[in-house]
Amino acid sequence: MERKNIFSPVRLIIILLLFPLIAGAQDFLNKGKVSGNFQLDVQTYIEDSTIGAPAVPEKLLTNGFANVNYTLGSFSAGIRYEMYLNPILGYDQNYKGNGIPYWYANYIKDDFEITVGNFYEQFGNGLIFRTYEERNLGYDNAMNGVRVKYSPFNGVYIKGIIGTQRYYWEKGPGIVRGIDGEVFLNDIIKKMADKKTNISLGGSFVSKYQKDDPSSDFHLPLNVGAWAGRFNITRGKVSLLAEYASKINDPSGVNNMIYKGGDALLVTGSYSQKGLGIVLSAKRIDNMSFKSARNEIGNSLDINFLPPLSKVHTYSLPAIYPYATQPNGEMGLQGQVVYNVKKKSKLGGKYGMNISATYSIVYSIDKTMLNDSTPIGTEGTLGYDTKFFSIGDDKYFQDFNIEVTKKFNRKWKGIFTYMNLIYDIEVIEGHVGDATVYANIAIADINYKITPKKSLRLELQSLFTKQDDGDWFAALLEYSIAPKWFITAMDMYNYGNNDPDKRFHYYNFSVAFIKKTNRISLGYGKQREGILCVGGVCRAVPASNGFALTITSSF
Amino acid sequence: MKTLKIFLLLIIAGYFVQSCDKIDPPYTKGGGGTDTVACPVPDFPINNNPIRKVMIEEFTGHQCPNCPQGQVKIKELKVKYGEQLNVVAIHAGVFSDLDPSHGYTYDFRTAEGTLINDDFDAGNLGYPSGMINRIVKSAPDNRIFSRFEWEGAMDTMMAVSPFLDLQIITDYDSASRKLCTHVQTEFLQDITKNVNLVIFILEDSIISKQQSISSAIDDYVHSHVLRGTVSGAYGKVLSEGLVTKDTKIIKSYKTILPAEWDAHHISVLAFVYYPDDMIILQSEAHHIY
Repeated sequence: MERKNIFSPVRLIIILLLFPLIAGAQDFLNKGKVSGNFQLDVQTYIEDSTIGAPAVPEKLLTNGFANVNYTLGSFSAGIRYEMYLNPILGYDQNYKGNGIPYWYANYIKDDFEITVGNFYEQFGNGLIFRTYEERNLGYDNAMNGVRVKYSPFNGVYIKGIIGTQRYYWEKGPGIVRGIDGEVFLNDIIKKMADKKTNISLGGSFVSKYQKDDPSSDFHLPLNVGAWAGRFNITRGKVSLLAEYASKINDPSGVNNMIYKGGDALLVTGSYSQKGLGIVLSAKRIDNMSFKSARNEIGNSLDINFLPPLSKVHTYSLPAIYPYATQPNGEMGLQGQVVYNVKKKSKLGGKYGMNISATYSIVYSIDKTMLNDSTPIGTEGTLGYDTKFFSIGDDKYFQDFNIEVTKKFNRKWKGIFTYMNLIYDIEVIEGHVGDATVYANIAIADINYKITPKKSLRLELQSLFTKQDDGDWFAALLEYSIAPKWFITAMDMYNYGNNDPDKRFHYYNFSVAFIKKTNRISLGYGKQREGILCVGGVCRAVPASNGFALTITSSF
Repeated sequence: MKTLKIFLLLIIAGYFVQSCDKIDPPYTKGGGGTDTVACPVPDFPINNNPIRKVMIEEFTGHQCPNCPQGQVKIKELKVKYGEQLNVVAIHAGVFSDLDPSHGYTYDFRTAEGTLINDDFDAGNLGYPSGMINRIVKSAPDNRIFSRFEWEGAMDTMMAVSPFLDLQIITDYDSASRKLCTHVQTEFLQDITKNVNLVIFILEDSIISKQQSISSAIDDYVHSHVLRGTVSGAYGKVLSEGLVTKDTKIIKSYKTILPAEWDAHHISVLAFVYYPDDMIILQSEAHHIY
């Protein structure tokens, strides 16, 4: 990787000097607005060989950040300070250190918006370009360069970007260039202005450049391009959106240096009316990992984002088995129905009832050998053949869940969930040789309002499976005095582990105090080893035992 | 105005669409890489008298006035050391640039040569210059010797017993221009560090213009020219961790020689080095005809 410090104090000084020049010194001081937020996470570690929590020489690890933004009219600028001394376990050790990895200046003038420095951006659904930050994962693929947004006519919007990507405290080796256009037909065609049907069309092109690697065995493409086209049609209660993306040869560490092109299709249809919502989605991904460094195989330098088609579960036991997107090939379907049973009906009772059901299924794609002697995925070849609608034999993931939310009376409210899960742990988590997990999960989440300000919440969860770590039971009790205090006790008990010596309790106690925009929480407990996924992107979470302190604040 | 805006946007979009490099087969360099199917492994003879061989990487360029003197020095050293000296001429740096207006039209440069030239900062001392088994000349990491220092550096190294022995067998098919290169590395003592193997392809007797101190020489004979590599500039891992004495490792590679190379003047130069300090341990050269 190119060893250059992302943060240059000189740049900041230039920006700060420019403020008064642009705005006039008085305006800069009097009319500008400063806002920001802050978070500090401190975790202590106690070695616990029973659950596999390692000894941590520092005893205490800390992650922290602060955003400071300045706005004056159509001008804004900001910085983010980050600190990882040293990174909390599970975060990439490349983050070790502190400094200012993110800074930007932005202004809007007439039809133009210009950003220099760091920025986050997305084209369409992100199939060929999306940069974003997800602090829970330690994920940040921010661009460092220039972005121009331009609207030549009403209803036509164009974005252009160029830059490098963040690689921890450095920049990635590739240059990313892209352009995106979106047209709202109802705005540009007079005849459509008053029509009920709204149509927008979009298209984008992204290309990355990375210099040749003479030590490589392969003829490498220095410029790799990807394009995508999309539409979005809405009419009354119905909407349909689709995006198709394609990428030319991009041999990389992720696809084992194969030269096949990649493609992706995402289609979502939805229907909504009062009390009822239906969403159906389908996607296919084939060889669509797109990074600005060929040899990068971890969670960094992604140029694109492949959206997952699976429901995000926030309860602790379903979260044991989250789905991770398979960029080398997957086909998925998801259907979701949300229905509100009317108040004062037979089923709905006095307060009504909400029912939400989701079914997700993800398969491999069918891959066949190029010829009799070349195994699938052989490096330095086209890799494999595949037909666009051919589904593979491997079921990676299936999740059927139904959630019922019911208010019984003024004091009692409950959310009841049942979930049936099939989880190919070998593919998703890389546990070679481990059997696919078949699990049933039941959850009751009951809230009792003691007084208008005080309430008690009880969560009971049970997970049944014969595979992996076997059965689990979890209970959580939370006492809250709104809006300031939250006191929580929780235990996850792996009572069904096939190894009797591993039937551990993972208990947690925490107290949180909130005052206006400040929040402080202190907890103690044990964390099980596992993975954490957000949006199909995952990181490993090692086992730990210790205290956790979190302070968040904004201004 | 509207038309102009659309026209400008189309130009920008058109530019982006061109930013794609479609690679046609073969995808691997030299058309093959490791391939024991196309290149069946032969039997190597037993070498009862392995000797230390020293390698010089000479940095040169056709527009460099002093570089012919570097070649003169190399010839002297070849007479003195014979087969114990292996030579590669790496054309890189500003003196290797093309200048068609002055007749420097032949491109001797390679991506691998340029990488090595840049990584070791070969131009710092001026051309011609050279590395002798990539040993460190002065701290912290200067490995570049002027032509006046080459002989002194070599003298001290020739007498050292080799740790490894290399043998090369090649099989060339002139019809298909397929070159099979087999390299056997024999460990003459226990080695605990990782070892990498690199294979250069060299061409002799390329006649092309060369600058000299007095005047340009139109029919200068360029020797030992680095033309390409079979396994990249820094090669591939040959062994990791402990390898015991008498172990033999054979690597086989298939390469398709480009049409513009004269196969009668092609040779293969193989060498092994420690990737942690880059020091070359042993080298071997072999003409394919």
